[in-house]
Amino acid sequence: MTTSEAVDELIGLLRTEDPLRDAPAAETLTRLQLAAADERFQAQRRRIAVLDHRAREFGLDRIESMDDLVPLLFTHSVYKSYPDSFVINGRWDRMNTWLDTVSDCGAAAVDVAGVIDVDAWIERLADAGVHLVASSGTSGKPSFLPMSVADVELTAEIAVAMFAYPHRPDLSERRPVTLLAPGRAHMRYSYSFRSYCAAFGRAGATTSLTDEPMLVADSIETSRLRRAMLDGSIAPSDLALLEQRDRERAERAEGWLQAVTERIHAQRDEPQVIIGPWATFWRVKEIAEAAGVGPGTFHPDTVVSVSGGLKGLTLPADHQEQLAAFFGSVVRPKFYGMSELSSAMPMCEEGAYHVPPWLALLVLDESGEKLAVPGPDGTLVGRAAFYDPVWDSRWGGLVSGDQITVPPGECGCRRPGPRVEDSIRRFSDLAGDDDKLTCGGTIEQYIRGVTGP
Amino acid sequence: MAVEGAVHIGGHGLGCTDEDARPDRLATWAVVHGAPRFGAEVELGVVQGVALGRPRVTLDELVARRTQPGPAFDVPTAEIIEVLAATGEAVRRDDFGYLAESLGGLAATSSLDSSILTNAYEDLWRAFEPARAAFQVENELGGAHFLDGWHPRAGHDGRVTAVRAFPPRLVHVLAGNSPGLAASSLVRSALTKGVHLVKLPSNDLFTTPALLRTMARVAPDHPAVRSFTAVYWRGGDAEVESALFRPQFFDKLVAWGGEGTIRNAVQYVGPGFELVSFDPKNSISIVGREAFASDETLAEAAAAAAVDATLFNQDACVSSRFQFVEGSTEDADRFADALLPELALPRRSASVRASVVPAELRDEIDALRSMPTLFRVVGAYDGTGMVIRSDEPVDFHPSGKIVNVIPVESFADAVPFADVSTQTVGVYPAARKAEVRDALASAGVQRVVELGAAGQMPPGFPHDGFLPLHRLVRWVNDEEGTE
Repeated sequence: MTTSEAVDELIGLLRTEDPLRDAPAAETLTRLQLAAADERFQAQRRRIAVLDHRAREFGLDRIESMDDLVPLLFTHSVYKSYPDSFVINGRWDRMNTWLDTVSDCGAAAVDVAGVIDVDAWIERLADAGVHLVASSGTSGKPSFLPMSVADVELTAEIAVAMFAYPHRPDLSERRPVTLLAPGRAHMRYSYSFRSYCAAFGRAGATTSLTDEPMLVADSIETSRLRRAMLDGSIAPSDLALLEQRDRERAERAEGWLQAVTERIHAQRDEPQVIIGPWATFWRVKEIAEAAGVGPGTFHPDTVVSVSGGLKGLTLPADHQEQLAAFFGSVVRPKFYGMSELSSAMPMCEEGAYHVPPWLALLVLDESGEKLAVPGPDGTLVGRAAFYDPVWDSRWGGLVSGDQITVPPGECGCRRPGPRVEDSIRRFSDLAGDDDKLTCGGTIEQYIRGVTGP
Repeated sequence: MAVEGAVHIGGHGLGCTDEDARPDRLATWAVVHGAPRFGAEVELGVVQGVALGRPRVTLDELVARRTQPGPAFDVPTAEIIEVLAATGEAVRRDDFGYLAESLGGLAATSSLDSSILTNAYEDLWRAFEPARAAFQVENELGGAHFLDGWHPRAGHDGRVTAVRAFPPRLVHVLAGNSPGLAASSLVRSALTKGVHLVKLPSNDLFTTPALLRTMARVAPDHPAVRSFTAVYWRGGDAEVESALFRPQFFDKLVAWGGEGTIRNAVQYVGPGFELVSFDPKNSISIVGREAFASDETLAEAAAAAAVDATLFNQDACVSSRFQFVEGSTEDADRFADALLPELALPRRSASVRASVVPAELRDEIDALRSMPTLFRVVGAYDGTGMVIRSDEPVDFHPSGKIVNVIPVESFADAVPFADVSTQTVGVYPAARKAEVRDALASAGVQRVVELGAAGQMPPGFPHDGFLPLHRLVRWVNDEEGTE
């Protein structure tokens, strides 16, 4: 029998007055994190084939140190390791089989009879308590991160407990909550949005950019078209149609943006909550300014939470300042997070991202194969990796594509625990191998435009 | 412009220009109009843990003015071939020790195993063989008389037009994944008699300068030597490239591989400045059911398939990555089992261990491995080789000695998996090449070879769908009018 004492104790840290200040001492915490990782490992390796394979390959039966965790960390690739053909050919039974090899969500038991497309598959799983977060990369192949009902509930609790941290707005009165993105999307932010609405949203004043569902099928369609381009079966007229569809969608989105801008502007005299990605925030600002809205007209207790990086967006160098000027002196929490993690890392008053105590932060070397060696002053620079004990339905070991810097000593804000400097970069964006020319190449390099950048 | 009208060529991405000569950097060679130059004044950054520098070179030094003919424009082809032959002999014996020095630098900075590089260096001289060079001129250009002068011929109306394969002004963006490319590219360039600027790749800063230095010792101050300049700058560095990539200085940009390089080069292409692209490619194999006739045939086919898959530890365009096996799933598995031990053998252009399989790829393969009813994975992640059997090609790009074996009912079922990015298709048995070559060519394929011969590209024949020498020169007419 396995226990979940350590996991429960770690998660219990969430329910303190100020989880980031009230964390146990470093040594106690590390011991607790490793014990939690081992508890989960013992239970999950029996049900997650990929984890078990990995453990056997490295001869690991227990997790007793951070070094033991390193070979067991999963990259994001795990969650898009299904063969494309399963989706393109509508083999949802096989997709369920695949989900069960990379996670412990019990997908195989879900009947897929009558599932007509990927969105219907996701709905069918959700009805059975298996929630998928789908994100598509530039290749058009989405990753699927499963969450059980317990996962959805616990991450909702975390999202609300950590909302706007370190700011502690008085949320006793219900208020408008606006998501500047489609609400019906299989994304982490739509789950957060729903938890905010439930916790402090005012009935009738919780809205998203649109209720039109964001279909995963669209990115699958992109995937299908890419395949047609690969094998040469695509017709120029298909590409023209696709371009037209993209144009129409952009026009529709413009309408939604106009409407949402008017809505949040109309609510500017009362405290409201606005969350969304950079791209839409920027458009909202532009639309408002074009309509003659001046800077700093929002209620000071408004919470504006901008998520994500710029993702290929080109904004002016002073975009942060411009957006800040537009909203004026409102509450603007910042955080570092990723879809794969249960919790975001909030930025403190000193401008550092703090790792919540239930998350174990590991800094690896660039290859991701071993723990990074600290510099002479104790600073760690390397690849960010985590053990996240929150997940019930999937393995919490994760290695990211981010290069981070973790300074030594205590932060100026006096919160204990590791912190990450505001200098996070994607390894793929760092200069390096692009000048090492080889004659080897793939068909991906022969595809131009329309379905991607 | 900096002082004295000199813009120094630095490596932005590989490091920035540094005015101090730093002794802790490994100095490298550049060649400027045939004259070798050694130094470390310009920082190039760190490659495989080695800090590199190179001598200072100005932009103006990289260009030969169009107002003057190139040094070798009027040197007879026979003389060029003699210089190349003598260079080849000196390279073979490494008379001056330049190649040993170069190999040392390359081995320290290349991701390839040093045994592969040593073997490749042992073969460098072959590119200089006089019979080979003469055949290239003969078969790609129609003969040395086109290079050496104006060759007259009457057209259908009796008018006589004289044609010369005129020496071009070329800028070469070389690839660095195989030292042999430096040699064959140098020979090809010399044969055109043109003016050449070689942009060295960051993964081989050494081989081209070593060959040029050897040539300069063999034939001091020879026009063919003075025709070459070779230096590193960071690919895509607009400060350098927007100044150089102009028809005022060069006729053509010869780009080897590198999607980024080619996409970047395209912005400079315009009237008078042409792109000759050796596109990035990949390769596959097709194995017929004849392989299963006996244990011997299976062993033969698997050995040949492994030769093609492991070329340069599967880091070249010719390396086979997907192998289609005509037969059942069980046949494909037998083939995979025969192939796996062959992948681990040391070869002239493959080491026992390639790089360890990267984590992201390992995660994808782990998932396939966990679905044993659909996939079969054999081998280890340690770089000695893996074979993945699947119904359809896997979504990722196999490299580092990972072969994806796919059973097909017939050769015709394998053809749809070839496309415009497919360079070479190895076929077993050789007798069945004719059966598929038209269909493969139609799909975009450029070479159909006997399985096991993917690495033996014959000089003097088309490469990447064209005759390289023919494409490099400028065809110029001297035309007669009608009476």
